[in-house]
Amino acid sequence: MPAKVSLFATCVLNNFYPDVAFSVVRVLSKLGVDVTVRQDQTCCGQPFFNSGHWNDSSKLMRKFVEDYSGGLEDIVLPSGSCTSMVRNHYLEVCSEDDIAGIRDVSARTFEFTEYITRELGISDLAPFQSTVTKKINVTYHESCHLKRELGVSSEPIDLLRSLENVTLTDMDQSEVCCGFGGTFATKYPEISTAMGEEKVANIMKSGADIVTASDMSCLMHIDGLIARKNIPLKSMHISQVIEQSLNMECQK
Amino acid sequence: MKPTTKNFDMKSKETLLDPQIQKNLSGLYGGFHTASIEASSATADWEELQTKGRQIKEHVINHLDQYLELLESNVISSGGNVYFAETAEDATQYIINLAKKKDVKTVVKSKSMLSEEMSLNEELTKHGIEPYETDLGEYIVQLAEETPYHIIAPAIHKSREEISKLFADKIGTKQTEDVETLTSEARDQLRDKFIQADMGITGGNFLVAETGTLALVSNEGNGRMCTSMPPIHVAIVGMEKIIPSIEDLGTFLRLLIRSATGQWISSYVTMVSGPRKSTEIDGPEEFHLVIVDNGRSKMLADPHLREALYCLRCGACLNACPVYRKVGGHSYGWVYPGPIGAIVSPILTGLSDAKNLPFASSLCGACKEVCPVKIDIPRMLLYLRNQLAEGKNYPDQQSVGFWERAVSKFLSSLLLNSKAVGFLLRSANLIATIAPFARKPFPPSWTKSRESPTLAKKTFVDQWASLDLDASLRKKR
Amino acid sequence: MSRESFLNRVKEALSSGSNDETDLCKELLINDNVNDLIERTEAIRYQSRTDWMKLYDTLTLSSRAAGWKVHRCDSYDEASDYIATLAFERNLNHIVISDQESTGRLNLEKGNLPPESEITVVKPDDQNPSFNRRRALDADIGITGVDYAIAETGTCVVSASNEVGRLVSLAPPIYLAVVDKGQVLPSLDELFTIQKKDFVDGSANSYTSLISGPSRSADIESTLVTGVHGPGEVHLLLVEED
Repeated sequence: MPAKVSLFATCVLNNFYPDVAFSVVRVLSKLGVDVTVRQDQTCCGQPFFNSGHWNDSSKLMRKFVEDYSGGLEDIVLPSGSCTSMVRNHYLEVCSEDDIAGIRDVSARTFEFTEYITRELGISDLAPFQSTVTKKINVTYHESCHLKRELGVSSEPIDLLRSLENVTLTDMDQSEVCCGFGGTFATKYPEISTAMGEEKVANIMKSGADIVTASDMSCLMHIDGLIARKNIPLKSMHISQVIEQSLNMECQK
Repeated sequence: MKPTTKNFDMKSKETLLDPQIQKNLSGLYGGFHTASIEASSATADWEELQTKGRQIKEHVINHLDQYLELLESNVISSGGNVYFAETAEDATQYIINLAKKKDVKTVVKSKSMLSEEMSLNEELTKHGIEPYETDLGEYIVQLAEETPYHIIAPAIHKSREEISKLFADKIGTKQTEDVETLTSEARDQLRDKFIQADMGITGGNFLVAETGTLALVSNEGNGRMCTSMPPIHVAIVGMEKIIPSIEDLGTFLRLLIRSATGQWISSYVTMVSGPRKSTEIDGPEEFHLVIVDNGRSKMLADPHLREALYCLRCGACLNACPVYRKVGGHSYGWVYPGPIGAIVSPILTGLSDAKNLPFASSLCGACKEVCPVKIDIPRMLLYLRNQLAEGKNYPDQQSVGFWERAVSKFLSSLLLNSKAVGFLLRSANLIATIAPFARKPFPPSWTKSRESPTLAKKTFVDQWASLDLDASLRKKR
Repeated sequence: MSRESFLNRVKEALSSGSNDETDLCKELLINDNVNDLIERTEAIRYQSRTDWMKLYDTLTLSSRAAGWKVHRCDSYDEASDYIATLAFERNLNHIVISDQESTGRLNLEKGNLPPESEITVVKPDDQNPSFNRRRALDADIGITGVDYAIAETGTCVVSASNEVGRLVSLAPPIYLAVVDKGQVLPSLDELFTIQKKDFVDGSANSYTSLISGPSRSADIESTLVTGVHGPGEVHLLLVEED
């Protein structure tokens, strides 16, 4: 019986990058997973939590928990940060009554690459590559919450390395924050930009043509900087790199 | 030290524009940060040490009253004096009274962040007592009439050119950019002060309760000088620095030193148990231990913040912090900068004045990752943000503005309804047909330096709903 | 006054948090089993004596890494020759030395040293206490024995006492420590166990320095400089004589 997951696209993908969400769906499908999508999904509540508005955050926490509790399927989020919100921080904004629901839901909630490697047990994607596609030179930015709050660090790198067409180039300080930090990016734009510029400099120094990451919000920040300065760099979510490498056409 | 935590915005922007400081700060990653990661990875049982260190700290802090009394009795039985100071002013007054009683003219000091809380140098000077900082970095900072920039590298922001000019102006040495020469100038100046001094003032890294021992970690030897030459030794130490047993010292020295500088051990660890014994050749005749609260009991009283008292002041979280490496130490506006400072300063000096500090973090978690006693700094930053926004435990400190709260309330309610989100997106696209910027919704604070992302034509969930799944997707399997 | 209200404030602060009721005294010195400590200390000392060769090997590596110039000597005569050579090479005219068992075994006769060199053995019973201090401050080299050395970290443990002044190992620009066979402990932990025993039986010193390499600073542009307030050059002699 195929594994079943419900995809929670996150508000960033839902509103800005639906193509990335489709890449996630297609990669999971290719790996034999049955993907469903709840129509009423919106946001996990993290922006409100990080800004201190825990009451507001808890409304969205309750929505997420009510939407997904009692189900049997796993919930996949293409974001380490939002996944960590569900797994680590929901318990901080909840009341007694919410705890059982949170435990039920968070035990089934996984970040995209975490789900592939730990739940499906797939670290080697080569067997899924039918024909070897065009070689690409990629460098990987480690998103903070995926690495430090979920402990997922080598897994996405293993996935990228297993792709025969991908040359994975090391980046200096790849584990250092890109400076996005949610509302931090607009509360302290100068600091956030300075951090982002250092990240972009390290990406360029790596010599790769493409920067990839598991969190689209980091890439949104990096992209905003490289677009403003017309830097010839491309950013792709890890699902897009995988999809392209598995030689599946992009489709609308 | 008078807090200027309010000025974070201004000061951090200034620092971002200073190329020399930016260069020095960016060196922290390849310097202290990398060295400490290497030292901790080379320590075979590092994680067990961390756990053990944390457990001991947790235990001591949870029984602090008992340990304070035990420490006190052991210091007294080794011939020392103990003074409990509730505030910085209280501690300063004790030292000034003592200095006056003993006719102290000159004081040599080794590094103490707590003395910065007390503005001790300023106060001593007011009373006609000359204080000399003897740690090279602190000496530079004192000559420049500034405050330390970093917990363990006080003058990290200064270039050798600046220091050379400073020495020439203040102590009349010849200008040179040779670091060895500059160091030996300072050595010569301070050697005389050590000989003259009537009192030595030090901080303390650990206080061992069961033996009444003060442990001092240093590299330059000024800590040893301050505890060997002057006839009176005064140690000022925060009340959280207690450890129960001398057998715990091995654990804590490894944790502290390897996290701080990445050294396997520092050049010197000095252990002081009271004044010299009568048969000893030299050493101070009097030993005074001043144990200071100065707001620490507020952290003790709040279970959400108590673990901030486990801090060993190693500075590893500063070196690891990408924000500290941009904004530097002075932006934080009080004694303790960086991630741990963003928790300690608001509590010790007033949350609402320091309201910028908990928000000035991308919450990347690098601080927690390197902390030798695993202090969950991001969790406490989030807690303080929540207090500033909603003020549940600190009602008088609630200081996030009405509008931000109103917007938050509105947006979070809106997001409960996916149909409303889809509708808004379609509306924005409609508006964009005559006003294209409507698809680039990010505020000016973002777009000043970065392109806004572009709103999708339709949300993912709306696109998904209109897909013929069988035809377009599933066949691809 | 201050004391009571200080402690009361701490007690009040604690009562608003979690407070488990462990029996503190169980873990503390006052109730410790003294015999157990003595046994542990004896075991450590026995190990130091029997494993001296292995401990010297480890110490050689760790102390070199810490910045010591290390020399293994077959005998105290060889150690004395090393010092004499150093004195000639470096023009060490003023030598201060502690009054310990190990330093007493050194043979630093006038005849072996440069003719102009002066040796001051620092003793507590001098008529004029500031004399020792002056000598230490003016000396070119300070020489002491050690209580222990630590193989883990390249450390010499030197306590101040009637035999060892605080400044001998600190004030001169060069410091030389003489380690005796059987004085090396594997790690910091053994040292602190022994120190705990010393506190229990009342033999503890009031002042102990753990010295691991030269005095150093990186406070100016993170550039490493040695010899700030303490010795910039440190020598470690590991003597293998019985």
